[in-house]
Amino acid sequence: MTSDNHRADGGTPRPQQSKMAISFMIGSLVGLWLAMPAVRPFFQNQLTGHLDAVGRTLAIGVLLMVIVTLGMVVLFQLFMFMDR
Amino acid sequence: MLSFPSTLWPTIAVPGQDVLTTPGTLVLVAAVVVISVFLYLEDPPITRRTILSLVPWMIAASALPILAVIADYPPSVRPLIDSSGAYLSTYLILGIAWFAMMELSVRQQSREILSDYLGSMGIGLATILITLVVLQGEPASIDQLGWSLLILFGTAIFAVAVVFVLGFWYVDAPTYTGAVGMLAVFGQTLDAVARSAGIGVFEIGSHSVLSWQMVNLVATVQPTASQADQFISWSMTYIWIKIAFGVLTVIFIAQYSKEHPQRGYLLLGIVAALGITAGMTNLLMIAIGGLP
Repeated sequence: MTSDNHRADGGTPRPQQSKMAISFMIGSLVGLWLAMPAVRPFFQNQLTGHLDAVGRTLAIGVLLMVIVTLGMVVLFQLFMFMDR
Repeated sequence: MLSFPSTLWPTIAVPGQDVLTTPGTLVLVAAVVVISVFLYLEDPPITRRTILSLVPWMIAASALPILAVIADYPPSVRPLIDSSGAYLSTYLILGIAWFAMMELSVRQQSREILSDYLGSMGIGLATILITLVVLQGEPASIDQLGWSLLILFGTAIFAVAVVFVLGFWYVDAPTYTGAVGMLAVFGQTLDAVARSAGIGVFEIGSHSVLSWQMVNLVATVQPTASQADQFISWSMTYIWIKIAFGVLTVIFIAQYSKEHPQRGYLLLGIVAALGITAGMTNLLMIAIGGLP
């Protein structure tokens, strides 16, 4: 029995769309990490500039939670990268 | 003796200034050597598809030197993403990702499709970095953005045409290099055209070692010519030398690729990467109207 990304004749498997998407997400996260000094002022000044201190803290907190959650999903998927 | 007026050559960088000497960059170089050894020992399959999947990584590397200037990086980090450091850092991340994928991949046949995942990862990285450059850099005018796109697509079409026409005289060139050969010609042409347009027309960018030599050559041959004539002489000489370099590389490596396709594609990929990263940096600088 072969999984959906493996050809029945045992030849070169096809790339899986889910793994392509995960790879894209990992690349994006690495990009955000690399460019953090450019990202931080963008969020602070342009996206949350109209909020007060509490609102800004909440917004950045929610954003961080989203990023951490996405990061954990990505890590989990990374471990699933190996062939089954 | 250089006789060009400074107004036409505003940001001439003297070659040799960009030397990797800080402790951080030495660690970076050491890490690059280590990951290269690991990759060599893993012996990943290098096909035309592999080289094409690395193009987004080349584009990502071209955006980092601009971010190093326009974003507020700590002084200790800046050398790692500025100029040569950007290329090494991007290569290091690519190498770690590639090595990790190969280690996690159990089936030998799955290694052949890892390049697709690498390409996808590179697209994610490049998308974020280019977006941030455009957002932070405040694009100058629609004209300059248009010129950047025109240069990009114009050189791409030109490179495809050159390798196609080359095939009439030397059929091995497109046969044994294919899209990777076109990529090498495209990279070298893009670098030359973007640098010439940046320095001469938009007064943006800096010289490479070769273009600096061309400046000196033109100043020696035409010491009394006008600014415009000297610029035309310099840009045409520089562009044609770069195109000739790309084409000759394709011709010589086509022969080599017959016997050793993996090494041939890798060499062409390096020639393409050198051109694309430098050319895209210049194009991005034109698009955002130069660095502050």
